[in-house]
Amino acid sequence: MATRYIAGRVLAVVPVLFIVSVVVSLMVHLTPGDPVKVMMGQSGASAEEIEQIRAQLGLDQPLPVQYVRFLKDLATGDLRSIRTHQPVVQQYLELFPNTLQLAVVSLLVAIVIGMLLGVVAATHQNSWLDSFSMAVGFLGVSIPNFWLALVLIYVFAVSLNWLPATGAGGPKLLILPATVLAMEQVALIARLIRANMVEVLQEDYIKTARSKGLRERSVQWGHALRNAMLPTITLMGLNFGYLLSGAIIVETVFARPGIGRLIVDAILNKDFPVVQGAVLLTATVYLFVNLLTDISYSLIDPRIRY
Amino acid sequence: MSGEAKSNTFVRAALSGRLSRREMARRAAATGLAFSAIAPLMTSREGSAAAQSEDVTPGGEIVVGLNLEPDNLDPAVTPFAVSHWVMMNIYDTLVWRANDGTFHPGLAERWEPSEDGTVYTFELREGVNFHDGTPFNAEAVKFTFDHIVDPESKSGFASSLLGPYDHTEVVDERTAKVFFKEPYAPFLDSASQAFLAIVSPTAVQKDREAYLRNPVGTGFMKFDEWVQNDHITLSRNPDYDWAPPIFEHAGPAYLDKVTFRFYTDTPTRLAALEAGDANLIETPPYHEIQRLSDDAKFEVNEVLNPGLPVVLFLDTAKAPTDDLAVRQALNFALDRELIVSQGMFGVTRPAYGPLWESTPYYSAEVETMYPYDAEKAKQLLDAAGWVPGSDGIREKDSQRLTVSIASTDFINPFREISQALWSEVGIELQVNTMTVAAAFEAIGNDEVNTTAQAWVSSDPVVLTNLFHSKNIEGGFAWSKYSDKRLDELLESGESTIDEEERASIYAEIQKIIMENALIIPYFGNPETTIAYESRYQGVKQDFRNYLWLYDAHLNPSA
Repeated sequence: MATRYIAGRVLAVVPVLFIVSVVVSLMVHLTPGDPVKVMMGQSGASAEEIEQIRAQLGLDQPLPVQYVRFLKDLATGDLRSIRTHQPVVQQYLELFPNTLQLAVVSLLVAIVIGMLLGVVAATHQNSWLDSFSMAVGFLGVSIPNFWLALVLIYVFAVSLNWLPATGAGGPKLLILPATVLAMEQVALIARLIRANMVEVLQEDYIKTARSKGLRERSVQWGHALRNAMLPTITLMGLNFGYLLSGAIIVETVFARPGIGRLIVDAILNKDFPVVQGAVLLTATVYLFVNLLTDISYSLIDPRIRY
Repeated sequence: MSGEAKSNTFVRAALSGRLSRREMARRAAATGLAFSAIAPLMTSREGSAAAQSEDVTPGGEIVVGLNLEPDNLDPAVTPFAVSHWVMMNIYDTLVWRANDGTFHPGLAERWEPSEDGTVYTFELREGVNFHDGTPFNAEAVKFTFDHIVDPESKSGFASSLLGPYDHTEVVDERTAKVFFKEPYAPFLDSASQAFLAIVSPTAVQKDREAYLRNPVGTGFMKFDEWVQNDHITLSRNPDYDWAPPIFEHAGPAYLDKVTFRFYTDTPTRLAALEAGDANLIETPPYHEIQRLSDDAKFEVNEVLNPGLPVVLFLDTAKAPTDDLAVRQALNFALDRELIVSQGMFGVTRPAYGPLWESTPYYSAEVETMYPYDAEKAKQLLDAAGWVPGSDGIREKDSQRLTVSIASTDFINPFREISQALWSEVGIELQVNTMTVAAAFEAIGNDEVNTTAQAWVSSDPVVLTNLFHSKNIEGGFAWSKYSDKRLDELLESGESTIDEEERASIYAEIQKIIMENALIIPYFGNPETTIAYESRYQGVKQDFRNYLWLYDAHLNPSA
């Protein structure tokens, strides 16, 4: 039963990806800008040279022809960046682990902090703890992430010299970027958990658990939270896509290699193959993450069956 | 032979590197030129090359923070200046251009242009090998140039530097003759740039796609690895046993390793320097340069690029910049000193023409053509029928005097000040913010009146791509100005070998461009200013301000 559900979901990915590829291709081709001119605009070239290179790259062909060529190159593994001639899929796969690392770690950090704040707020509803927890969340959302990133770099890397400022690699290099990325999500998670917990705590089965003699902590965390978490999981699944792309600013400021930077640079340079290829791959990842999210419901809530 | 012709022949011979010191002194006296004036022309092969500084301990590493990642390291293929920064360590060029503009031996020990300037004969250095063991010889030179013009290479920049290249003849192992279809004056300058550096034929022929990211040259650094979006590392070539004579020492480089990292975000780049993630960075934020200079921990090399300075191009095909009076008024109303001191924090100097003053054949005549004179601007506009409206902005035939600009990040430092200065004389600046790619498109399609540009070039031939009418459609001649005389001058400037003649051709070109106010020059381009930890010494920048690390070493007392 579950397998049929999963199989159906997996098949549904194909038409979605097709639509994504068409939309992205249209968007990136129809917005103003010529990749060859951007490349040559740094040092200079004559009109003749520019036209020559455009022809060599097949950029003077009509849009549908270029789209078909894109699909063909993607299928044969020969999709190459206009700017660097490097294979797009390979580049993407090399960079993806960095972004994934950042996304996962920041998500975990956000969940831990968000849960703490949310539970504390819900169980001390309307007290000062409640307000304080929510305030911390709001702070995280309101502070611009590039500003926070630079401040953290200056405090921890430049002044105190505790942590490296830039790059990717081991855990030390993840601390600051993950913190910045996590801050934005904490408010959302905390709020959601608080709201759901408050609701759940009114339920009968909570009263039952308490009258059974369970410790309060067990009631809150074991029973109430588990039920309250479902909507949060949905949110985090949806948020994952944001994380993958929102990492752009964090990746740029911390000079971390990653797909966020890859895509943004490609957009600015009008590097069509990279934009189309990378967005398609990211969409695929996103679709599967959401599939996993949905499947995980049945693990958390046995009432949910597919 | 007339005195003028004599000195021309002498200068040509001196530049060719054939004359010994004694010969040069003798001929200088014969032509009446002061010896001291031509002393820089001397090839100092007998001089400092062999001497190794005693108090330099080899060793150490340096991390260089670039503001962009190169696309690839094949000199024939990449059009980017940032690639040049990396390639200069891996490759050698046939000749070197010293910071005073003179040419010196590199992989070529001697060179001789033919009388008509269409053939260059190079005598090559012996005993040099590529990093993969392939011997360097005339065959490699031929391969390199043919590789550039090979359509498979899809060469952008290098092929334009080669100009009307025809073919190369391998006379023998040590001698190569390069043939051009027409005389090509910028050739030596091109040959001194890493874009024409000599590549290993073996490596390229083995796998040209892989070569893009696995360069093999003869240079003082070997390529180690390139991790996308993160870094490029080079390590010392222990077999480098010579050096172009203009360097301070010979033999292997001092540094063990050079790592290039990429920081596109300017505040991040600065933070990297201050946190020690990078030891040297390109383009620090301009408002921080003073602070960095004053700090004993850092050194700052403030340099301004030869070539096209930071200018705004004025589209003569779109109103109101189709009106000469408007274009001239825009120039007169600009207080360049103010912009340099307020907008650019004093890190540069005003520019008055299409070439920066350090570019060969720069004509100082342009400096007096448009002094800051708001009154003059107003007079010109009045005379042309632009009458101040109720809000101060002028009008003519019920058209507002509105100049639209495609504004990019590059323009931010001087946009507001310009806007304010121009509104004082009744010109309105309409700002349209967009990406660089969109800006190129906008001015190409005459959707805006102006946008900015700046190009590094050590030869005035760059003006052809910017002002010849054949480059209006689909090219970078954004002024859209078509004039037969200008076109002719640009063409002959490229093919005139005689130095004096060339100078007067380009002087006239610069005059025509400014008389017609095809651009608004702003200031010299300080983008390649570097800031680095002062424990590194011997860090230099070449004629085009590219980073030169051969003599770089750590201060022994650091």
